[in-house]
Amino acid sequence: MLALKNLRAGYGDIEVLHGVNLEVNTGEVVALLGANAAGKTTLINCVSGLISAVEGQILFAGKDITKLPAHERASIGIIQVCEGRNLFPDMTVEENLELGAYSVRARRYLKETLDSVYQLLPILKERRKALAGSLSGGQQQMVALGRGLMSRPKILMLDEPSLGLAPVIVETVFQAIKRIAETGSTILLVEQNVVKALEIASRAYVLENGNIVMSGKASDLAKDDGLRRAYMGI
Amino acid sequence: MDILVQVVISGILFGGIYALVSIGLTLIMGVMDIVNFAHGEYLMVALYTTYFLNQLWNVDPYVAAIAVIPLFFLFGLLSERVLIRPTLDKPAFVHVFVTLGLSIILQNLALLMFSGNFRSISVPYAQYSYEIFDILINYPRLVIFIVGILVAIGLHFFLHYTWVGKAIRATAQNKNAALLMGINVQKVYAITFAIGVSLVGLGGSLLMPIYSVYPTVGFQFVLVAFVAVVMGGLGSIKGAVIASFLIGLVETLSGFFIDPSVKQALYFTVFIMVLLFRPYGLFGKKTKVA
Repeated sequence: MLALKNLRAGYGDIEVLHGVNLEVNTGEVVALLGANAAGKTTLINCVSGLISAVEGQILFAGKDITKLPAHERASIGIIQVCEGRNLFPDMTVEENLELGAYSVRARRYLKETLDSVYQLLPILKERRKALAGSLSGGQQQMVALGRGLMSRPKILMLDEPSLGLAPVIVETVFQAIKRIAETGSTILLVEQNVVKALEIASRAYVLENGNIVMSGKASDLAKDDGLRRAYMGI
Repeated sequence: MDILVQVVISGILFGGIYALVSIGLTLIMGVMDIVNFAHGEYLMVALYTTYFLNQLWNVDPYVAAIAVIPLFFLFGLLSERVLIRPTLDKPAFVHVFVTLGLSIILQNLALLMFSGNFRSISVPYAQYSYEIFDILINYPRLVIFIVGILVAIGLHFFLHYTWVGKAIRATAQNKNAALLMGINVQKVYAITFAIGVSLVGLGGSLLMPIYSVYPTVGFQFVLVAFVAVVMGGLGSIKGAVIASFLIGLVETLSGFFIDPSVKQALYFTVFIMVLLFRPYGLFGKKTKVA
């Protein structure tokens, strides 16, 4: 579904990603792990087209999309749920969700998708008339997830969904992601919370200083001593 | 007493023209983060357009308005494409130079082509008035008022209930998130700018029957519009409209009861008072809403 080939990218003269290779297959949940400033967000922004690649290729469904502008990537189904939620604060929950289905491809199914999102994340139905900016952090994260689903994503990229949330709330958010994964969605999950991420992912990559240093099945990585020491504090 | 009511009504009616100018200004500011210093000159160009349509082909100003709206929409698209888009990711002072530069160019072009003379047209209905309970309601002013209100309401519905409108609000509130929704932000900017320009164009046509046109006519209107935009809260259409009517009222009242020369001092006093108690304006928030 998605493949990065020797991807280099950064900001100005500073290169952040030094040639990353990564692959996500259809129906898979792949975790991208790494500490702060490892380049996780840069990688995901590069795939969404918010920053452009310096070198290398981004392939989506076999097509080279490296040069495609950001809004067109969203309309072909590459959907990012970004860090810090990035909602439209002065719009209601429902308006936020509707905007998720902005692309022509998704707009046709607006009603159906909205119903299924409400079913999957009932809290959103409850708060649908509330202004997004007035919600708690956990609820905002749910809106962001729901808005991502409204786009009928071919691949859903979640950037640190647990960021800044209390542990109890993190649990709820991951439950929601699990339910989304069970519907057969293809997910690239970027996380610092290694334990949680490995629980729901089938495969994982570890990014360190802009290089992939480790990759494999999630269950194998969960047992890896080096990873456990570095990221789980055990 | 009658005279007071008469003055109040005249003031509020004239506020409609300020509303038409400031709605576009606040929309552009709220969505694009650009202060359009050439906004008054768009008004001036619209006044000249209406004037010449009338002088050369005897076109009624209200009929001219119908042509001016699409014409100015294109004018807006063109200026956005040529002047604004290349400078979008540049620092704010570049926007100031670009729009201020455009303003100076347009003013001097007008001076060169049409001289500095005041020009006005005479249409029979300019002096028509309706009399209701001894209060005279001037017909062109009433038209300006009604159109101003209708435009504000129409724009509200457009922004809240159409996909393009929602995309405009989304872009104003969070540009990156809008991009990630598949919204073509560049297109949204172009449309926003064009809407702002066509509204000020409409204002120009409606103003022509009761006003004169000269190269710097835009200044006093855009000055009021800036005050209205800040007083109403940056990006708030409702705020800009209410502030416009308030300024129209203060201006006329002070002009009639004190002296026309103090009217600016007075509405600036009101402006400062509002900002003292509501630093973000009447309907302003820390985040911008269109």
